[in-house]
Amino acid sequence: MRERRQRRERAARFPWYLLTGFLLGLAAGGIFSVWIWPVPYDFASPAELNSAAKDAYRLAIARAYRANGDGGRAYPRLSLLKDSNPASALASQAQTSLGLGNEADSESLALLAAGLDPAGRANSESPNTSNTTLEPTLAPESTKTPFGIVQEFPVAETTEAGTPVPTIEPLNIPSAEIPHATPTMFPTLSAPFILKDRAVDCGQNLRPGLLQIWVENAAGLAIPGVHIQITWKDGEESFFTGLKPEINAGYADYEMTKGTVYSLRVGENGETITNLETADCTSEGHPERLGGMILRFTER
Amino acid sequence: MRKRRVFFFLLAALIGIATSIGYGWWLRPQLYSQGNLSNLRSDYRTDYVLMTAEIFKQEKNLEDANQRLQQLGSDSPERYAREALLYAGQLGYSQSDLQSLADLVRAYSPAEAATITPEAVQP
Repeated sequence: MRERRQRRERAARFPWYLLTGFLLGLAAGGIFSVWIWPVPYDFASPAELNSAAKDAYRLAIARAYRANGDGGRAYPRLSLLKDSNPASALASQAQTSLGLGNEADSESLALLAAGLDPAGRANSESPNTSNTTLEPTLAPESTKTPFGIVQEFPVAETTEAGTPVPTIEPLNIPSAEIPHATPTMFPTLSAPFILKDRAVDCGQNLRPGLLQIWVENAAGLAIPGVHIQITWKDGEESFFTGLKPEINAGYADYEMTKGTVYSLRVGENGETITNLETADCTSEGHPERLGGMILRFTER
Repeated sequence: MRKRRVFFFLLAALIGIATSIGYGWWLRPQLYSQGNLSNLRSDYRTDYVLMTAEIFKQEKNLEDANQRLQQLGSDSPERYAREALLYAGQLGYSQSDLQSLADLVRAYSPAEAATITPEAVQP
């Protein structure tokens, strides 16, 4: 009778030894896998980066594009980020950079954005099919896309011996999809821009007081990445053409405030245009609208 | 009875070890990697260093290259440049790309200029 009661008590008791064993195992495994033998997490693709790292990667692409002018290399690199709308991402980052005072970065991003069509694909193979694409005037340069990015190859990890490395699928981007390089025309300091046309705009779909700036070269082709400085009594602001590639590579705009008079200069050595302000559309039959202006600049 | 308890104790410990190793090697890297540039796979990392080298080739701004490479982790920028040069050689990068990377490495250690050439790293 006593023996039966002891057996019943033992059976009803919680199996602490199991919990103890599990917890000891957890601790040992944790120490081993986190401190003694951690796995290095270095198998992320650019698309898996966080937004700040993506911005840094995107900026590096833009600056490299600015440096070597090789769109055949820049656009496949850009596609690795898998942005839903690459042109928009570039334009947005360009605006942010400009706000932070990084004009060189902003200009580089705008240049890269200007080469993308609205669908977000690289527009480097058929420069004559879009009115936003520049006609090449430089000697074409061959695409020099690194093998490591466009071809399938075995991944040779350089981790220390004995370090556990997760299985990684090799890159497999068919090289046939890589567009050829398109020579890109960059604005130069030696080509000041002059005002070709100035007009009031009272269009129906106009944003109130919109100042539209169109910049083109001597041959009439749009130029992205041209620095524009606008000043008024209490301040000044800078921006670039090409931040809205869906409109035109040589287009930029600025929303003027009613009652403020602006001066504007296109390029580093361009002429300064003064007395810019919102237009009165009463004479156009639209007294309710706050009109804007259209300025067209061309290379001297 | 005692043997049975020891067996189940060891089994529970093994389950605990397996659980925490799964966490440490699989789940934790994904949860806490945060997708920084330091997490880039080595081939993408090499291309990132190549971009830096292309920019450096044009602008000759070592400080800018430093800032770009420091985003790859806590090691020195020079080390990242050297690793990229070696890895680019293994991957069969073109001569001009290797030259760009070599120029960047050379900028970090001008005294070793004679020993770093694209030919030296090509397989």
